Amino acid sequence: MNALTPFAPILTLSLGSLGYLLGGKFMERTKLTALFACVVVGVALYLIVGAVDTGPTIVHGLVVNPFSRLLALLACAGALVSIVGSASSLRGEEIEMTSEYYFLMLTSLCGALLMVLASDLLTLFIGLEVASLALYCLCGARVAKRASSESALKYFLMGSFSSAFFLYGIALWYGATGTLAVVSEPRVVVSSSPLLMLSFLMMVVGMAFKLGLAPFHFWVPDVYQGAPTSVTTYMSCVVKVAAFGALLRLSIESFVVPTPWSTGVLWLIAVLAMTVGNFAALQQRSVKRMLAYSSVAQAGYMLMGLVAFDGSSDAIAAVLYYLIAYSAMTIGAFMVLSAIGPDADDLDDVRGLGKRSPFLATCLTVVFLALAGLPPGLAGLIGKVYLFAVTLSNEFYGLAIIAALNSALSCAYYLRVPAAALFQSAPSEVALRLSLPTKVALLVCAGAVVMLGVFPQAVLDLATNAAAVLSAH
Amino acid sequence: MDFNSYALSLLILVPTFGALVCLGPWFPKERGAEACRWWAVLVSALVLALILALVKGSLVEPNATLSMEEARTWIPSFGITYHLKLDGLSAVFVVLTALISLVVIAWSARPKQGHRAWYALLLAGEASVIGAFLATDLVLFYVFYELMLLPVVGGLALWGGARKFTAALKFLLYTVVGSVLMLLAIIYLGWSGRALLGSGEASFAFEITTLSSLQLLTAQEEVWVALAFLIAFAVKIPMVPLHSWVPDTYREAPHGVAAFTAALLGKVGIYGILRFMWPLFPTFMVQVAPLLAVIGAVGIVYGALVALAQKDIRSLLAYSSVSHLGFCVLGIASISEMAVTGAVFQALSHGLVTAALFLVFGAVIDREGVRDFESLGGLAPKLPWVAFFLMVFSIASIALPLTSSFVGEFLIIIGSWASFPQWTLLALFGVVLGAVYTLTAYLKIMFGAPRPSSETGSRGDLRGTDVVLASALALSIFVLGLFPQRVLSLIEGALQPTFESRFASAAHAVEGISPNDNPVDQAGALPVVSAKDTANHDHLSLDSRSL
Repeated sequence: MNALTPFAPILTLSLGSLGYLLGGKFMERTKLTALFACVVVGVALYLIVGAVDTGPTIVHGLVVNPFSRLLALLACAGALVSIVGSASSLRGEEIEMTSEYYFLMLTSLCGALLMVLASDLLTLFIGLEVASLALYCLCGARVAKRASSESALKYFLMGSFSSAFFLYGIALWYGATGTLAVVSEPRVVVSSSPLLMLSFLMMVVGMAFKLGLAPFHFWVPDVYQGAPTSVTTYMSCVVKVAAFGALLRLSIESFVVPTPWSTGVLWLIAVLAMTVGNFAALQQRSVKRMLAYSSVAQAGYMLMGLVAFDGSSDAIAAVLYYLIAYSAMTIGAFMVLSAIGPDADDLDDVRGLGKRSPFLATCLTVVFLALAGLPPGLAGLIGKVYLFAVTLSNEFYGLAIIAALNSALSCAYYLRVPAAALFQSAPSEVALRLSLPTKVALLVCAGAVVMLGVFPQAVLDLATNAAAVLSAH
Repeated sequence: MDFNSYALSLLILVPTFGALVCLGPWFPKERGAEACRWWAVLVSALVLALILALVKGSLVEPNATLSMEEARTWIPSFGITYHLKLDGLSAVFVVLTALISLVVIAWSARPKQGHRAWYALLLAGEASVIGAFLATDLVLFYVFYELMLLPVVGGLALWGGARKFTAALKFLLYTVVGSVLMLLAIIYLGWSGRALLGSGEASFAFEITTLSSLQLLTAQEEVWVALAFLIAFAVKIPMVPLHSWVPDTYREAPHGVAAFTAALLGKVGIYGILRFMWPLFPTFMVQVAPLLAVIGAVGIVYGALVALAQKDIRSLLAYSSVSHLGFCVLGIASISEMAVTGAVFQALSHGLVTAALFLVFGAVIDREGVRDFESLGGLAPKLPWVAFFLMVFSIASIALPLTSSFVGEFLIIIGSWASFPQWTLLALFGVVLGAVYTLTAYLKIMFGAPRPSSETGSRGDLRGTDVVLASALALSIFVLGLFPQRVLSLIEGALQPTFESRFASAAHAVEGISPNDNPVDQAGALPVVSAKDTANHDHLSLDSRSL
């Protein structure tokens, strides 16, 4: 039984998703569909919290340690909040086949967990594919809308392309080291052979695609905008968490970054991502596209921590803390949009929200201020302070200054949204009615954004603990 | 759980709580406006009572020094603390904040719509400004510093004039760019502390006393880090080349918000220089002093000249603010104890006068519906109270004796004469110009030929509470002008440690600097540092680092 414990959350999720295939017809169109998904994810969450560290011995291709557990926890929590929050907006989005919808979502979460917990590269790749395939379908879930199908196709094409890169990277890694384990024995250093350098590049490109880091971000705006908002909510958190987890572990555990060469590559991607993302976001009128481009920029900020990694746990802890804070912010931001309406996208749809629903407008303000790094959304501020601190302390002054200017610039477009919501008059004065689960989920996000900043110590400890696993190698 | 250990937090928490209550459903539209106002008045009066109770002891007893601290851990792994401190320097500013907030909140003119948001924003603004004046941890200070934007941006965007969004954007861009640079500098400072504190539990430190007790930066680093702080504060004050957000903001903001901004926000900049930049970058402050003096003096004259050319009341007030704050900059630049005390006193006095002017002129603007001088005139017989109070505050603005501004400007001029005679002379010229534009404006509006006014506004002369509030402001201006001694010694008491420990030690080592560079104060209060001394200093700090 003990050997099975790392599997327990993944098994739960896959059994749950099978449950939808078998029994979905019985609960279609009832509240049970969403409730069942919540229960399954909740059980998985509970199992992850209780999972015992596997230690250095690797069981069946999975490894449980503070690092993988934290990321798995974050992915599950993010999925749970976004499922709860968007349960009542599916009808508006004309998603008829709700049991298939939840089947796909649980499957994708299952894949994400597999990615996070994997201890060898093949398991990781399988996780990546399971998560991605399910997401491609989810993006097209709003069958009646063309943009939804378009985004599914686009995501599928780009995603398969990037998977091929990643797989080729794995093949090269195997050629160079003769093993598929994430942590090879004896350790190899990335710059030791051209084969390894190529392999590193391939894997980074593959993950950069998934994370939407510039210059591999072209799919991001179309997919984020075209997909149903409830799917975007889920995707913006879970995919980022899983892919960042994989990228961190690959770079540090497999390739023993930092070397001047690999740092240079990552530095370039980080700078490109934050600059391109910000400048593109400035020009958007569509809030969803703006958030999509801003997610490119935010991924760039997070990558800054990996660039600044120097073998101590601080840099990785900064990335993890920001990842946690960012998950709360991005889920909150998209959930507000999906609460306004299934087609809420343009800045005009947000106008006058303060009059239509003060509660929603407050959540929106807190979340967007946090994204801009301004109080009272303190989580964003503290996260940025931490990232800047590690970047400066490892003497990447140029990077820190570029990031600081970028984050000042980002205020210009982030603040437009709360400004429109609070200070402009609404096209329609109809009061918005929110369902209770949506309210609860929004409250959790906005509360997390504030509380992660007011009492950050517990989360910082968690992040430092988790980061210590990586830096111990 | 005694009261004293929470007293400082209460100064921040009470208005925060008040603001949250304002937002609740207790004060419905239409009917709830007055109730909401009285609630906000009650809350801000409570804050004023609280701070007066804390300060009272040291105002009554001679030679008593005021020092209260409240320290809690906040984020131990970065060494960020929740550290508040009330001493003479912060006390005067907190009292000013509490008083001005009470007056602005209780003032009867308010926007026609959105009373809940109005009072909530003002109370939140009060809380954040008080927080900024109390925080001694740099990160905590930064949080409050950013929160202060809330009432200005919100006020502009909700109730501003025709060009409100341009104004709000300009204000935001100026301040945010400044403060982001400051944030980087703060992090850099905190990180530099790590080398000395060791990589134990708290590897970073952001608390000002801890930081200033360590010699963290080399001379070159100090210049860059200090420059980032200086730019952020210069935008807030505003110092002259960075002032161009001021006219837009003051023109477009509603009266109350304009008064609040003009009276309080800039003071955080002045306070920031004295509280943070002085102890942290003494060498830099001495080096940059001549430049600051030029900026201050030029600001005085430039502001006055531009004010002379204005046709709009609000623009006139904006540029006169720039001009009067130039005195504070000049006073700080001279680093003589007298002038710096004067600068703080002038900041206090400017806060009172300028808030009063914005509010009373606001009554004129509301009544007449126009605000350029060309269409105003001969209002004195129609608005006797307004005429009376405007006279009083105009006199205070041009620093006639008996008013608090006189004390401030007098001390600054006497104190900085020794260091920068030529710039002080220029400043004196600015005083004359100040009298010219203030009195011309007053005469035109009150006693000029009556104009056919549209009289769109419904309100007439000042009434009831407004008269009481304006009298309170006038009274405090004259009391401060007549009996400044207690307040001055309170300020001096707070500034002295910095003077003794930082600047004096620099002055001790070498008793002179090349005379054309930086003339020595006769009283010996001016610290002087030669290039050689600076080099030694660096050498020492490097040594301590390698240990």
